[in-house]
Amino acid sequence: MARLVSTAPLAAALALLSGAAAQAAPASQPPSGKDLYAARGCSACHGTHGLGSISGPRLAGTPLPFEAFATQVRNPRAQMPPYSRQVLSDAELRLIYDFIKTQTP
Amino acid sequence: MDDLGSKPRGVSRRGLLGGAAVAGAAGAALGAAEAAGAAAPEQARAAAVRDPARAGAAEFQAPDTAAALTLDRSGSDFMVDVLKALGVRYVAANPGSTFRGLHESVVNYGGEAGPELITCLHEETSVAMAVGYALATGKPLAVFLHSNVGLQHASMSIYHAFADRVPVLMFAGNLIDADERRPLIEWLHASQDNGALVRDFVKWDDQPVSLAHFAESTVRAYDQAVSVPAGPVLISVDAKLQEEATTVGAEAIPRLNASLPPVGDLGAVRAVADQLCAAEAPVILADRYARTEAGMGLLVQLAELLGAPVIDAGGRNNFPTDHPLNLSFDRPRVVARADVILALEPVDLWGVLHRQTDQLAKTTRSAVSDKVKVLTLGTSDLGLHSNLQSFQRYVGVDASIVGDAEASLPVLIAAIQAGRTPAMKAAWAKRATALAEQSATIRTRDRAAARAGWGDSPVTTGRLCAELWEAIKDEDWVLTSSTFFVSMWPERLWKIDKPHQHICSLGAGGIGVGIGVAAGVALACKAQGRIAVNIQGDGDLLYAPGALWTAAHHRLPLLTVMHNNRAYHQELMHIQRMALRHQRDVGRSVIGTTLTDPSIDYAKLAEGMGVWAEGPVTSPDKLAPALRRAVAVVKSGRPALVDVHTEPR
Repeated sequence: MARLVSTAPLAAALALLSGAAAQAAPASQPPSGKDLYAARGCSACHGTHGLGSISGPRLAGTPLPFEAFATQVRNPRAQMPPYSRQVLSDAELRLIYDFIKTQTP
Repeated sequence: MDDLGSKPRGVSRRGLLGGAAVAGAAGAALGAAEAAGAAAPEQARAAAVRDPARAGAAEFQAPDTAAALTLDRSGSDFMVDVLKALGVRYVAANPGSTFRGLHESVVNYGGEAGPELITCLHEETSVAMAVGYALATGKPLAVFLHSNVGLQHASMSIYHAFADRVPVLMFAGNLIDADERRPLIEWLHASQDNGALVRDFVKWDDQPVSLAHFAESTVRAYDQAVSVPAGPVLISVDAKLQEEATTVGAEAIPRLNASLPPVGDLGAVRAVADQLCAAEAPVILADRYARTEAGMGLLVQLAELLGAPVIDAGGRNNFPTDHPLNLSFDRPRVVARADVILALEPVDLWGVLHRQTDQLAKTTRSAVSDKVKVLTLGTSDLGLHSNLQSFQRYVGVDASIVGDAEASLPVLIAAIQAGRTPAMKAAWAKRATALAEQSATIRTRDRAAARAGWGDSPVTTGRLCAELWEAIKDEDWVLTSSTFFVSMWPERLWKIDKPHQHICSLGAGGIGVGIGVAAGVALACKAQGRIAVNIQGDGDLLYAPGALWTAAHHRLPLLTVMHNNRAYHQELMHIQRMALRHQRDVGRSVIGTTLTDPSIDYAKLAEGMGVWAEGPVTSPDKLAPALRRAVAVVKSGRPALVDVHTEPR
């Protein structure tokens, strides 16, 4: 299925959601997992570095295998909104997963 | 603000017909009117007085004696006497012509002994300050409001006070007699029924028509405001009543009743004691519970007697954060295991007993055992109004006792002590030991969690609150703000073990009142020798930043630390949820929800209001020194603000 999400507002979203630490990827390069984590709104609930908050649990260094992580993202339990493939491709989801795995809990 | 009614006014009926010089002045005007062929002398007199220009400006003569234009004691002087009799120390107001008489009487007639006028730059702040002051002192602060325009500015804070059961004594000016109104503005600022604008969310209101009536209604309003359940009250004050001469004295002021809060039915309270004694896993839920300084101590006594965990839902500062029986941050597990839940002044009991998802297809599940007995003790159901749904979802429970929880607790404690057997005492002590281990684990977990991302920028809310604690812990401080938006780190990290140390006021859940509530608490702190500490959301501040000027003008000891996440973050998350539900671009959720481009410099904003300020702090290592400098300023009796770029939550 074609992804409808454009990357046009990526820089603006990054500037807000990732704060000063975020640097938007150059236009010629595909966004990194860190960029996507911010641009797709993950950081709004889980924090810039995945440390969690009252709005979302800690993701940094998640012990979940990718399949379980992906299931939660696509068909979430509780309050998390669902990320369909239309807004987040499998490849992008993998990049985000790899990013949060590298974050120190 | 004051009106624009600066047109030449001549002499109004108010001043002219009541004065000694009526005959001469009106006679001159009347002569002109009669010469113009007016039919009836009385009608002509009235027309000439109302419209001297029509009667001929040359013929219209102002009274030539000062006695017709001045007076020695006005109705508004008597109104100030009523406020004094009630012990009102402060009046918060943004000026407005419909209460000009009252305003002048406060500042001149009231003098040093009278209520002090606190200058506010928005009526939302006036009422919000009253909320903060009342929660910090237990006493209402008076608020003067301009008819129509000022009252509507104030309406959000009034709803906040109503939803949070906080006493506020409000006076809204009005000019009831249409024949007395100046053209244009005074009509725009008059109403047939002032109270109708806010009647859905005030506890009581009245529009007295005489000074004796004013005295009686104001004393009744005060009584209503502070009696359980407390709430905001409104007196509509006729401008004519304020401005005319009077000889009414103190004999017209009724004595204020000392209303006692209602204690729950004794038999029902004893039955609750029996159920708690028989329970294996009792849980105490306290929400808008602690009404006075005694409330926290009574709850500690009850919890320690039973060896029962306490969940502090945060409606008031109910229970010490570091108490071994405080299991507030293990709530899901504790509530799920309970066989008896005693809810003291619950606000959203349904929300405690259930989990509901905010998905397209909402799902609801119980958060408790199907065998749990739920017992409520409180006054939440008293004084409900119909329109605004702040009363929350109805819950069927096993016992619902109407009575003030704090006032009823001594009866409950005595009943438990009387019914306790040695075997129960031993079992409860063992239970308390296990719970203490559980709470210690939670506190250790939270302290470690606050260290995560310690060096990150933007500053984590965990570090923000940890550094703030280090800066204030040796002072006599009061936290003025709700902590929900900073992930409740103060409750998780700080030692909040004195009743006055946290003013909890979620109120109506709206924003724009936080800085005003903080200023009101700081006003109380000024007399108490404490410092007020306000963790301030950026979005909230921007509704009414003039409160910073009020803090500077009145030398309030207020430390404001900006939780500057550069967004209306709660709304940002809502828009993200909608975008994901609709499978559209979640990145565009920043549109309309963020406060960037340009970035707002809150230190400059504060400095412009006369407040010492630093920031924005973006490097976490610079936070602690900035906070130390700010605390020193506040201890000297001046407000200070530190702007910090933070994580969203």
